[in-house]
Amino acid sequence: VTDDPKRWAEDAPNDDLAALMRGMEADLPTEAEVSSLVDAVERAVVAGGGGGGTGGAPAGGLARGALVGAGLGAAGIAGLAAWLLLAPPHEPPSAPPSTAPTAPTEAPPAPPTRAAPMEAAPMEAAPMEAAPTEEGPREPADPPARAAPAPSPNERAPAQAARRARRSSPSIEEPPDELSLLSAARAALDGDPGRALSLAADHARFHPRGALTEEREVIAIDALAALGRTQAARARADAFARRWPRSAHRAHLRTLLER
Amino acid sequence: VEEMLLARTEARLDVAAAVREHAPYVLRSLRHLGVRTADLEDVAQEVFVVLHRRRADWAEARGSVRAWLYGICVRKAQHHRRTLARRPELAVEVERGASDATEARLDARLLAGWVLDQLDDDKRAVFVLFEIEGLRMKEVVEILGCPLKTGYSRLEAARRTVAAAHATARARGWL
Repeated sequence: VTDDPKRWAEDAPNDDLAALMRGMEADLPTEAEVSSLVDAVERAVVAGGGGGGTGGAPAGGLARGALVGAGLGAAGIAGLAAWLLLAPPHEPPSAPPSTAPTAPTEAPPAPPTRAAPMEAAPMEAAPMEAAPTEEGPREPADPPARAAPAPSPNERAPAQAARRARRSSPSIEEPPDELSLLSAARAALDGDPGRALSLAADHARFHPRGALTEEREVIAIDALAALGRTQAARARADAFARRWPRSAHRAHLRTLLER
Repeated sequence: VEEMLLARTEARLDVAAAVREHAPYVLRSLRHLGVRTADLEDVAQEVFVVLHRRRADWAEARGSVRAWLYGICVRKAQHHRRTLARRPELAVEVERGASDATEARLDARLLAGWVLDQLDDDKRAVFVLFEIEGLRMKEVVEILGCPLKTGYSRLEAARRTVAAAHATARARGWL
């Protein structure tokens, strides 16, 4: 160790070289670049990780939008309530009464034929796709900023998803859309946390890169806590804190797990 | 099934945490090892996929994850550079970047890239790991699999080349 020469950043032949070295050393990626990489790696790992074929690989370009959406979801539990409750499962605003996906089990309109493009339509139809680009995708904003733009795409989404579903070929299986799944999961939290957990797991399977991943995790942790599976809830909350260190949901999770 | 899905979700959260922890120096070293900006994320992704796939290996390995990741970075970057040499359009882009810069001050990152591009793979790896990433030479040669003495001599040679390249850049009015 002591044989090592001093690094140029500390002791260069001239100031220019020292500055060059310090510049190289300081050339670290931005938060956006890191987030984008996290997204890409997860996509690759999920895609290559085997396991049930249906949950597998979302289309590449769409996954990025999904990460953006996950950032958007950092709206606090109040924001989550806003997201999910503005379009309550039983009466989605402005959606045609019969076609809105009211429950996940009703949402797949077609017979279950496995087909490659199945992820595409629901991802496009995900309610968050429009909002993030307007808001600056990578920086989770404060809850108030989130709440405002949320409703409009949120209201349109079920109808769009339904239209899209009707248009698409009947031979292609379409998983339930994110919002339907999580609305149902959220609704089930109070009376039937087991079902909430299972719906959250469905969300993880159908939308591994979903826009509402962060919300999904909050619901799942809530459900685990409600089921008395405190250790699992805690582990998952820890993972949540690592993944979304600045999430507004963390306060809620802390309170939840203190009980 | 539910447990399996939960486990998978949690595994993905672990992946995210690992990437967040190691991404800064992985991206920095890949860039300095010669991976072009356009390909940086792809190559870094490959590095982390390897990490994920072989996480059991490094969990048992004696060395640090960081040293192990540097080793992957060096190999991936060298592979990338060889690919780059076979992709003329990219080589042209690099050339253009350097010559465009003659008209104005050379952007710091471009200058760094150009200077480092004057090194061959072996010297570049030693220089990047020792000078920029701040590893001890003992760690550097373990990662690169060469004798300590070779590490020192490569560092010496790399330093001469870098100093000369930097002087050239100055003489051309790039800084």
